[in-house]
Amino acid sequence: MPPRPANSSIEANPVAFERASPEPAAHFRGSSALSDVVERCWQKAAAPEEWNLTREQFVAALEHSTAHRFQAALRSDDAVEAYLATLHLSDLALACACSAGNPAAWDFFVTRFRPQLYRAARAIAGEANARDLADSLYADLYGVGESEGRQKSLFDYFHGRSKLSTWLRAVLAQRHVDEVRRVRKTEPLEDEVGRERREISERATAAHGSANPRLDPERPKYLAVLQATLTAALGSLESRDRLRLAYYYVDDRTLAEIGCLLGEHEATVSRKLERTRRYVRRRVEAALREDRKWTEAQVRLCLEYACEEWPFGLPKSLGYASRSSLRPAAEPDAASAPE
Amino acid sequence: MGENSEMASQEQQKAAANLLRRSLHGSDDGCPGPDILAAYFECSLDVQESARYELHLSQCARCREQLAALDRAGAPAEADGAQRPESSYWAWFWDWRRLAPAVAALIVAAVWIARLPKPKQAGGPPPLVTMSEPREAPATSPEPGPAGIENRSSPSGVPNAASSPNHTSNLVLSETPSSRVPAPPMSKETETDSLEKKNEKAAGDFALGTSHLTPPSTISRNAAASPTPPPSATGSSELRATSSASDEAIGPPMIEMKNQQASAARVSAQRANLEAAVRRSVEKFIDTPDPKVLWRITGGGFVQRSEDGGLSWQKQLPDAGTQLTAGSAPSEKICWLVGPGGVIVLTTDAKDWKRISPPASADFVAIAAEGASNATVTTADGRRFSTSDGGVHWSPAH
Repeated sequence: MPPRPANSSIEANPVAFERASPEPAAHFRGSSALSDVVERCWQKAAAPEEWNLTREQFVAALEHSTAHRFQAALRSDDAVEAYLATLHLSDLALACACSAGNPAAWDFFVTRFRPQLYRAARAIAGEANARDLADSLYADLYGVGESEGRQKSLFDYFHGRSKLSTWLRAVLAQRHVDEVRRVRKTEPLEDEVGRERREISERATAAHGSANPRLDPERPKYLAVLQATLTAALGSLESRDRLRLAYYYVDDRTLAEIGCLLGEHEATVSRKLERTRRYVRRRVEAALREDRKWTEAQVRLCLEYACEEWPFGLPKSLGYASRSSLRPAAEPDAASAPE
Repeated sequence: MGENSEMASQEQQKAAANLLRRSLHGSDDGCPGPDILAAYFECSLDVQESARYELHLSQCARCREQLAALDRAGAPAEADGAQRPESSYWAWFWDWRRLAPAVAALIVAAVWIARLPKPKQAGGPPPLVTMSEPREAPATSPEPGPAGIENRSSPSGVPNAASSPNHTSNLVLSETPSSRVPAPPMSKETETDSLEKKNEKAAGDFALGTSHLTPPSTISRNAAASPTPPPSATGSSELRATSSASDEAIGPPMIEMKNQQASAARVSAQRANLEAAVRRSVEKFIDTPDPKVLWRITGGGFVQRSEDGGLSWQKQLPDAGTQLTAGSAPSEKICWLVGPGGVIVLTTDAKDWKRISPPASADFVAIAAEGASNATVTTADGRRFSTSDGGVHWSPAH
């Protein structure tokens, strides 16, 4: 018998599953227009009779889904109607019936979704861990575990915003990733960054020597300004462009992998990454020259320091000339030193 | 020199990634739940929601890892054939209007080669062009993603059609008739599972343009009628070309194919009967000597137990992923359960279940137990086995 998960995902991560889901308001009952919409949803769901799913149970699920979507925000009838039109109603009906423990619904779910579930688990977690991953989800779907003192089915957290099969895979993915991260005990990124900064600083000091007369006391400020300017430039990006950069630079994914995740061809990914890099470069230059009123010499000096401090060719990655081609930089004017 | 510059370039790239990672780093707070991630993955969120969550995704490595895992799981072909939107490039490339001429040329070339006069062989008829069932992708490999994405993942970006198992050539040129490769027998799958797999493959092939002549829905109906492998784009035309070449030459292979079809149909029918029996066994009650204590098989491998005559039930999962068809409870705390595929499970404390080694790899449909040690099981084909030591040893029962 597979061991019951010591900490089922519902209990371990209740926030992710019940994020600000207040009691579903009786919004539908107070609106005649929505009553018709709800009736059409019920008809469209077309739950088989043997599932013994009542209209009231289904409407309660619709209300719960709507409350989860809009939460505390005001919602007009039109917005609710538009939202209800996007739901996968037959899957929602199946989830309701399974949550209620109807055997015929369970039989249907097992026949149709169990093979997919195990295949997805194998694809996500590999052959060795697939069985445990799928079994734990299977048990939670049935409600073997307890939450808040009562047996609760994971189906209660399905709101019909996607296909049931996709939702199941998303739950598997979440569990697998959380388990991998728990085992990996990844250090917080801040710690990594702090360590990197210390290492970089040590390297720079060793390279230049503490007695180097050319060591500019304003050097840290130049680098800090560059970092802040870069951060601001990244913050001005479209979310999708920022996500593409994160996939490429943070996750080290290939163009093809990014294309898979974003639904783009890898040539499109490459083109848009290059466009984003050019945009970031222009924004950084504009911020340094126009906003901070730096001279050309100061900008070059900042970039030169960046090349030395972070020997990774940031200027090169943004399209600047290499250090060897830069003319000797003039000493920065004390009056115009960066703030 | 070259190595040094390459190493320097790699160092530069690594450091650039570190800088951007610092700049792009956010926090794990406010991670969306699986319902949002699934909706985002399906492109079901509205524009504002998509932008909001993409911003979070750009800052949250955990969520990005989840999306990557979700993508690895692939998108199963749904009944309506809905798929994630492809890139226009691959849709253009795999368009049937461009593939059809190439496929037609391949067919003509294959038929021409087949009809070329060969040197006389001792007692052998001319070589044949035969069809072999496309090999299915191994279970350990990830499910092929939406059409075109798997091809995009090749390093060169060029569709690596030749290496894809779904595109493995279905043409087998045999030198002698004795070396014809027969289609492998249908494995014992449920009819639904086999239809699902064929639909998935067919949908993948359909989107990739290799089976444009046979849409997935048609393949589904054809598979239900006669469980033959779904024909590829070359397959159907090729069969027609082959049959027109020489009826005598293709007679034996057709008979063999028909025999295999009949055998597969029998297996499917037997499996369907078993599935029907399983369905009928859903919500089967198992009495105990105490009228207040009941067990109930609810399907999907789950059972429930009541101590108040059925007013309330406690759910239990004896063995996940198995089906149960029958049971016997000789006492309030002892219960035996059996099912297809050699499933026999036993509990002696009404809580913890253990799997019992079956006497045979068979589908069990009934069990009669007198205690934790003595029980007799019955298979679907009527065989009976008994044990008197709790399933350690079994012997045929008369």
